[in-house]
Amino acid sequence: MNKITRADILLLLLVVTLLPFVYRYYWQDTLAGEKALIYVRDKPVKEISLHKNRQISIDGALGKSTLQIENGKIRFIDSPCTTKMCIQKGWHNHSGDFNACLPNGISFEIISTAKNDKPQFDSINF
Amino acid sequence: MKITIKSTPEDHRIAWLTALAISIHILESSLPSPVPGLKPGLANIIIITVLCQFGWRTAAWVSMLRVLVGSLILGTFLSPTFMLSLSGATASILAIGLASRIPGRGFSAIGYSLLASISHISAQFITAYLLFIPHPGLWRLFPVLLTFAIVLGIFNGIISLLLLKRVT
Repeated sequence: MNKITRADILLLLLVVTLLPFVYRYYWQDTLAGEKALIYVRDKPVKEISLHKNRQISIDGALGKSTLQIENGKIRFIDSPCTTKMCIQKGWHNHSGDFNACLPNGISFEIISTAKNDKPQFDSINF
Repeated sequence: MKITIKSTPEDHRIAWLTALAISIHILESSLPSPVPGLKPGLANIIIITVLCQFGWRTAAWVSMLRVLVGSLILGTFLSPTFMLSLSGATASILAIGLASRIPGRGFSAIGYSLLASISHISAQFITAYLLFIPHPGLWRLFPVLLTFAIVLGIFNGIISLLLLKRVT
């Protein structure tokens, strides 16, 4: 039992050939969301589709924030906050992604309309 | 009344080998890890070596006792860490159990170690997904940790093979 066998080589080859497919399977964009739910001060106010390219303005605590929707993605392009962290977070397109402009009280969450994609906890600990 | 438990030489062997596996497990737990969840799994070298030397039954005992006692010593008993450790160890011991029943020459220590590390990481991901992190994003980490599992599985297998050459 202390020499490499043919079964070892076979297993190794199988594993090395299958590994790229594992990467392809788990890193594809299956998690792309369909819609974004916009919140103002923790209350959901609007559900928008990510398939129509446009810009929308939302009234917040400080003023108007502008969101841009393009090719299934969404981002903040303007907000009256001082740090502009919401803008720097950039594009979002995965179901479950969340971005918020805290000073202005505006946030959005990407939701998927797929049947098996229920809202779930990010993590559970005991 | 005095109760005496009769122990067989096999019991003693299992105890010694388990002690060895636990020591390595404890030593390893003090090593820093660059990525959460990434561990070399050096205690598994003992499990694989025991499998090749003494058979599957002894290896299964050593593996299960190692998880139990290791968690008691480290204080992780019944915590998520323990659940992940237990599921991984169970899956790999079952996988190498099936593999050791292959007729012919079958696998060497390297094949067993590779098989064990792959089933270990897969079972841990399934457990983590079902119990602790039910978020599809978790699976994005799977290919990365699988790659490490393959590399470390082969590495541990080689060490086990060298060890077997020394003891036989």
